[in-house]
Amino acid sequence: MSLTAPAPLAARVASLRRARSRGRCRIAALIGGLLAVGITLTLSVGHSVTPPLDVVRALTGGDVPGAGFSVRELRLPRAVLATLAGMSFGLGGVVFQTLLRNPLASPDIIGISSGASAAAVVAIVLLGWTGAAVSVAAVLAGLAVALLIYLLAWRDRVSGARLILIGIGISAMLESIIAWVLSRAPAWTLQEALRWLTGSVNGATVDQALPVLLSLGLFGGLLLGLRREIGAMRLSDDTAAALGVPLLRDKALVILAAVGLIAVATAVTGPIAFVAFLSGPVAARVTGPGRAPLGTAALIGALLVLIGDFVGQHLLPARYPVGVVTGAIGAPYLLYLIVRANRQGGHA
Amino acid sequence: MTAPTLQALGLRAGYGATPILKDLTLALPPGGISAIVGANACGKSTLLRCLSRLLRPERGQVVLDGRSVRDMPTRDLARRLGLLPQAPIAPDGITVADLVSHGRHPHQGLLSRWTRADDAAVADALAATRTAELAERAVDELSGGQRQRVWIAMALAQETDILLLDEPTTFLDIAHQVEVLDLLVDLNRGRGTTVVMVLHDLNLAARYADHLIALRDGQIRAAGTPAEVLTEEIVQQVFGLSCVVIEDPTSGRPMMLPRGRHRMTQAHRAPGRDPEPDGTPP
Ligand SMILES: Nc1ncnc2c1ncn2[C@@H]1O[C@H](COP(=O)(O)OP(=O)(O)OP(=O)(O)O)[C@@H](O)[C@H]1O
Ligand SMILES: [Mg+2]
Repeated sequence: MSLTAPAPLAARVASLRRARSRGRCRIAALIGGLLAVGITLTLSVGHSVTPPLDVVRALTGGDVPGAGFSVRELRLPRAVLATLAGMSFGLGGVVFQTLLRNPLASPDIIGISSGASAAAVVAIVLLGWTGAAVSVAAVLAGLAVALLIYLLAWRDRVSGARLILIGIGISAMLESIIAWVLSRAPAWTLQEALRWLTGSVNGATVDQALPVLLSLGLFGGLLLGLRREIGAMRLSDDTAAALGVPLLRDKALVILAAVGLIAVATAVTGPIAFVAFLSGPVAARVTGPGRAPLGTAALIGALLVLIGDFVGQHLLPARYPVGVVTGAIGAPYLLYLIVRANRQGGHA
Repeated sequence: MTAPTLQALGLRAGYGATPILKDLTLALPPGGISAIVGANACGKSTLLRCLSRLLRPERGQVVLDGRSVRDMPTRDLARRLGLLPQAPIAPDGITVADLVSHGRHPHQGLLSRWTRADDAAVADALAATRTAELAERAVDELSGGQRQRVWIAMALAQETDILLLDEPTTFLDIAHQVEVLDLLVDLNRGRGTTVVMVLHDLNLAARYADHLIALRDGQIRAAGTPAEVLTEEIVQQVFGLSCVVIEDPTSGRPMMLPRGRHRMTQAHRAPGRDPEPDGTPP
C-alpha cells in the first residue's frame, strides 16, 4: 500500500475545500444582503416612510425637510445599535454552544445574560451609574456567573447536562432580582422595565452604540484569531489538545471574549431574548455542518434583532420592544430542544 | 532524521487521590512499533494521555529527545507527537474531508494560510486509510469501522514522528484490523514513524509489534520482544488467565490460546476444577 496519494486526489481535496469555502461566502453574502435590506427598512420607516434616495441624502448630510432629523438622530443609531448588539449576541451565543457542544448551553439560557442584566439594573437603578461603569459591571457579573455555574457543575469533570440545569436555575434567580430592583424604581416606565427583562433598542443613541462597537472589535477580533482553535475544540478535549491547542488558556480566552460580547451588549440593550440562543442553530442550518459558523451566526444575530425590532415597531397592533418579538420566536424552539433532550435521556 | 526517543521516568499519575500509574518508567524503542497490553482499567489510556501531555503527572516526567515535554510549546509537541484517543467525538454532520483536515492544525500558524502541502497531506491520509471515496460523506453516517479509519486518517494528516493510538482496531472486523495494522507497519517503514498502540488482541499485538509492554495495575509487569512478554506465566499474571502459547505458523511470532472452563480437551483441562467435556461437574 502506498503512503503517497496520487496527485488527482490532492486536487480533489483542494477543490472540495474551495467549493465549500465558496458556498460559505455565498451564504455570507446572501445574509449580508438581507442585513442591508433590514438596515434600509429601519432607516426608511418611522412615523412616516422616507424614500431610499432621501435616506441616502439625509445620511450624507443633505437637508431633507421633515426626515433629516429622524433618519440621522433616531433611525440611524437604532439601526447601528441593533446591528452591533445582534452581532454580539449571535457571536457570543454560538461560541458557548460550540464550546459546550450543546445548543442549550447558550448564555441567555444558562444565566450569563441575566447576570449581566441584573448587574446593569442594579448599577443604573440603585447606584445611579452610567456609561462605561455599567458595561464593566455587566462584564464582571457575566464572568462571575460563568465561574459560579462552572464551579457548581464541577464534579470530577464538567457535565454538560448538569451545567445547563444549574444555569437555568441561576438564570431564574437573577430574573427575580431584576424584577425586584425594577419594582423598587417606581419612576420607571413599563418600556424601561421591558428593556431589562426582554431587551430593547428603543431610544438608541450613538453614544450607546460605541461601547458595543469597541467590544465587538476587541472580543470579536480575539475570537476571529482563535477560530481554528474553536474549530478543534468541537472535537473531544483530548483530541483538541493532541492537535496542539493549549486548551486551558484558549478556553479561558474564548469564554472571556464570549462573556464580554454578551455582557457589554446586554448592558446597553438589555438581554434581547433568545438572540444568542437562536443565531447559532440558524447559522448552522443555513451554512450546513462542517465548521463552527461564527461569522454567519453574528450576521444572523444582527438580522434577528433588526427584523424583530421592525416587526415590533411597525407590524404589530401595538409597539413592542424587540425582545418581545424575538422571545416569541425563541420560546417554541427552546421547548422543542428540551423535549428532544428529555427523549434522548438528557443529551440535547 | 534520527528517530525520536520517548521515555517516561518515574510517572505517578491519576485523576484523584489514588494514583492510577505508580512509579512507571519506560523507554519506547525509537523508530519501532510498540504495543501496550493489559486488562481493562489497568491504566493503558492513562499512560498514553501522560505520554502526550494530556494528563499532567503528579510525579516524574515524560521526556522526548532528552527534553521534558512539559517545557515544549503545545504546537511544537503536536507536530512531533500525535494521539488518537480511545473515544474521539466527531461534531454533528462534519464531513470526512473536514475532519481529516483538522489533523493539519499544528502545522498552521495564526497567519499562515492553508497550502498545497496541507491538501497533499490530507490526500495522503485519505488514500492510506482508503477513505478517499468517503471524503464528502458525513462522519456520523459511517459504519464503526469506516469511522475508525477516518480518525486514523486525521492522525496521519498530522504527520508526526510519533503516533500514539488508543485501541485503533476496536469496532473493526478481522480483515480491517489486519489492514489497519498493516497500514501502521507501512507508516513505520515508509516514513519512519514511531508507533505506539494500545491493543486488546494479544496475538495481533505480538505479531505486529516489535516491543510489547504488559501493564498490570498501573505498573509495568513486563516489557520486551513478543517472545519475552507473551508467555503463559505473564499472561496469567497480567490477565489472570491460563493459556497455552504456541508459535504462530504464519508469522513465527508467539501466539496464545486461552484456556477456559469449558470446551477444553482432556490435555488442557484443569483437573478437579473444570467440568468434563460433556458438561458433568468435576
Ligand atoms: N477522566 C477520568 N476521571 C476519573 N477516573 C478516570 C478517568 N479516566 C480513567 N479513570 C480511571 O482510571 C483507571 C484507568 O483507566 P484507563 O482508561 O487508563 O484504563 P485502560 O487501561 O485504558 O482501560 P480500557 O482497556 O478499558 O480502555 C480506571 O479505573 C478509570 O476508572
Ligand atoms: Mg483505555
